[in-house]
Amino acid sequence: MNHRITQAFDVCIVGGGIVGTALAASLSSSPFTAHLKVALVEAGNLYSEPEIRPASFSNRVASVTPASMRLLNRIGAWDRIPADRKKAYTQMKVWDASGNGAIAFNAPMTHSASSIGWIIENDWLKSSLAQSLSSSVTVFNSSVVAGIESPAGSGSDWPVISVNSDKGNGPTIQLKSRLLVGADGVNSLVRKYAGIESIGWDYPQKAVAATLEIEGVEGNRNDVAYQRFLPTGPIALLPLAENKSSLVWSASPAIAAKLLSLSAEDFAIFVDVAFRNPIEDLTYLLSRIQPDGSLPKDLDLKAEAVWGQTRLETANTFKIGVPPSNTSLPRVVGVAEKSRAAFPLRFYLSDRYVSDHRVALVGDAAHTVHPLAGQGLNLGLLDVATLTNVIEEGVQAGADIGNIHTLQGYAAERFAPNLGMMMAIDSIGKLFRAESDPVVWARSFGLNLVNTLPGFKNLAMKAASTL
Amino acid sequence: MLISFQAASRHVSRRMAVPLVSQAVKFSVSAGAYSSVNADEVAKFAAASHEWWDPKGQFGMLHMMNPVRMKYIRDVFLKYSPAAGADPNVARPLEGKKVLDVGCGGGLLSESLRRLGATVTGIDASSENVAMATHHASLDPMLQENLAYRSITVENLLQEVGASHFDMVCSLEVIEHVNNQDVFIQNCMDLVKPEGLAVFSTINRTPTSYLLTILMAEHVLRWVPPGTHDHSTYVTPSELESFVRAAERSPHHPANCSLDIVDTRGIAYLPLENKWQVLDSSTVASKFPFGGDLDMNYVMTVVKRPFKESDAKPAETDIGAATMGLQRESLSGL
Repeated sequence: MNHRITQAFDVCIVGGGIVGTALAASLSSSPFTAHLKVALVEAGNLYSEPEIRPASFSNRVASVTPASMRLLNRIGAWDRIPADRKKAYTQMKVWDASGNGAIAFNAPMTHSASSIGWIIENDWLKSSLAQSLSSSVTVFNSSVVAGIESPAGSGSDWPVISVNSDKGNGPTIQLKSRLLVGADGVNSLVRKYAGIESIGWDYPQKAVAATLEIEGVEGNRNDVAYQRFLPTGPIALLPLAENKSSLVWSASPAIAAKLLSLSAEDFAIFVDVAFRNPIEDLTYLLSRIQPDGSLPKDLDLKAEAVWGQTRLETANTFKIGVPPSNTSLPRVVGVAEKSRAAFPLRFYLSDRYVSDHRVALVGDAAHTVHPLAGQGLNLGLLDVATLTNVIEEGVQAGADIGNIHTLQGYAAERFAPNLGMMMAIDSIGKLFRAESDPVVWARSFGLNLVNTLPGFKNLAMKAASTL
Repeated sequence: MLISFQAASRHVSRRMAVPLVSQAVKFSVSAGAYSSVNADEVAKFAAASHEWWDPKGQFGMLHMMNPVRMKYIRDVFLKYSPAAGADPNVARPLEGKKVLDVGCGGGLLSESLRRLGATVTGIDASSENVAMATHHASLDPMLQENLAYRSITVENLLQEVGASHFDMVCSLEVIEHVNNQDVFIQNCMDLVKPEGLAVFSTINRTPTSYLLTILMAEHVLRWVPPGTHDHSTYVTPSELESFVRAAERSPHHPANCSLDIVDTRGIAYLPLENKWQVLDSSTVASKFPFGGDLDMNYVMTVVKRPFKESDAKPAETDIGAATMGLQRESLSGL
């Protein structure tokens, strides 16, 4: 028989991912909210160890903006990430494979930080945040939410969350909370409980991630992020260390499957082709991949790749598919073992972020975006910063922080900017998938225009990195 | 729209101030020592007691105003009470302090004061309101101790617990609903300990406030039911000041203390931003270029200050004096 104990909390956060743990840490580190009793419920292991072997990196990484860095710093988590696990990048080069649009961003333009951002493994972000939790946070580790109910009859409207420890096999514990925060991702249970609808779609794309070995980096600094838009989706190279970079290549599920089936050496060459060759080369070579992942014996992959790259550089009057000037793309020389994987890509938006039944949603539970702009996690951390602020002000006014009047302040501040960013990211994605000439020409023109006008570029950089 | 009302009313209020004020003076002087409870007003609010906590109900405006009032109370408490100088960055600055909420209604203010750490007594003449407040507080584990509601008048409470009992007495948006406003203020001030504070808020009796709180809010926009407010009972800052001065003559007032009005400022509703804001001089300049920040809701803080041996009677240093200058000059022979 289950022994039911009901514990009362001020804030119950369901979901111990980066965003949920950041919220718990943020509340526990602010003097105004440190006294609040916080519960953090995580189905997996909140304390899982991140990779510590030097030069060995997980394939799930995030680009962290200066605004997110400030939040992590305030929480005390930033310094818990070792220096060699957070790679600053000071330039970003973006260009179009099908047109000649190209744009380069440099860090000093942002005025607010010396870097555009940092590339950090997700595991390290989570771990540093988990270590920053103070004793005011009760962690329900490896605990699965069995159900959430509004208790009827008593008049109290505090939601009751039933949780089973030990990955769901343990006894049921009941928590009741003044404020219930859904940080439980795109399939949020809390969102369903609140009756908040989520609208959106799964992109007809997957993101292929891998950790790559690179060489030929200018000055060995590897502080430049690269992204090339292909019609099938963008491919991005994010620096991790002197000779290691993280790959995020968005492509159709069919292409993704083919890429995963290739041998490591062939995969490395395909990545190079995707960055350096005319777009027709990639299409052709992809079509030659056989069902078992091998290539026909008569195909010399390396030679094809080199020939194509030469063509791009020399026989290319209109500079189609050429990166911005002064770009020295690193060469991919290897793929870390077992680091290749494909992840689904989605666009989902919740129609509300808060409900008048003491619920607030943060992170992916509220909004899910395409990774092409590196914004997803950062939007979630901005949610955390705003919600913390709103709760702090509520505490200072002696308010019931689960009350809709308090929570509305959070929704009012985050809904529109998040939506704006989501629409922009989605639009950029659509724009660069198009292959018709007028569209390609227009977007090339647009990109190049923005590249040459410092005022526009400043604005764009500011918006993307200091949100 | 708000700005043009202000401009027009400033013009009008100069000419109308004298007749209005003298009317009010006659009213209060003849009131005598009766109870301050106005039975009709009590009944009116008692009937609405179940709506207190509905965020979309008729008290929605009060809910919106509450965080702003609380921030003000927190600020003046930290500034003017003996705890002044204490770290402003604590979650519960009223810890250990005894606070009285006069006219607590459904407990909106009392609950917030309790969450800031105070030991709160909330009183209301209506037993329905007290029942509502007690019930609502029972739903929150944080409010189970140090929060008590009583259906009792302020004069009876004074008789029961004696003078100089509370560190702070708050009566917000209540005085416009009581009879014998001078007696009411006197009783409130008597309950304040030396070095303690009283915070009062109400609506100023001006053409602007008639236009906005009666004509617009009650009849045109229907934000509150018609009859919620009675313009003739609104209190001007100078009247309130005079009630406070008169309270110094109470038999319960300690001879070694003076009642200092340390702060008077307007609280405005900004319709475009759908929020309330306590006004200070910088806001006045930017949002209300024609002045008159006390034309509508305003709040006043009074300190029961013991004389130090070196003191002569302290002069007024408050903002209220400067901004009330206009109304003061039309007062004669009070």
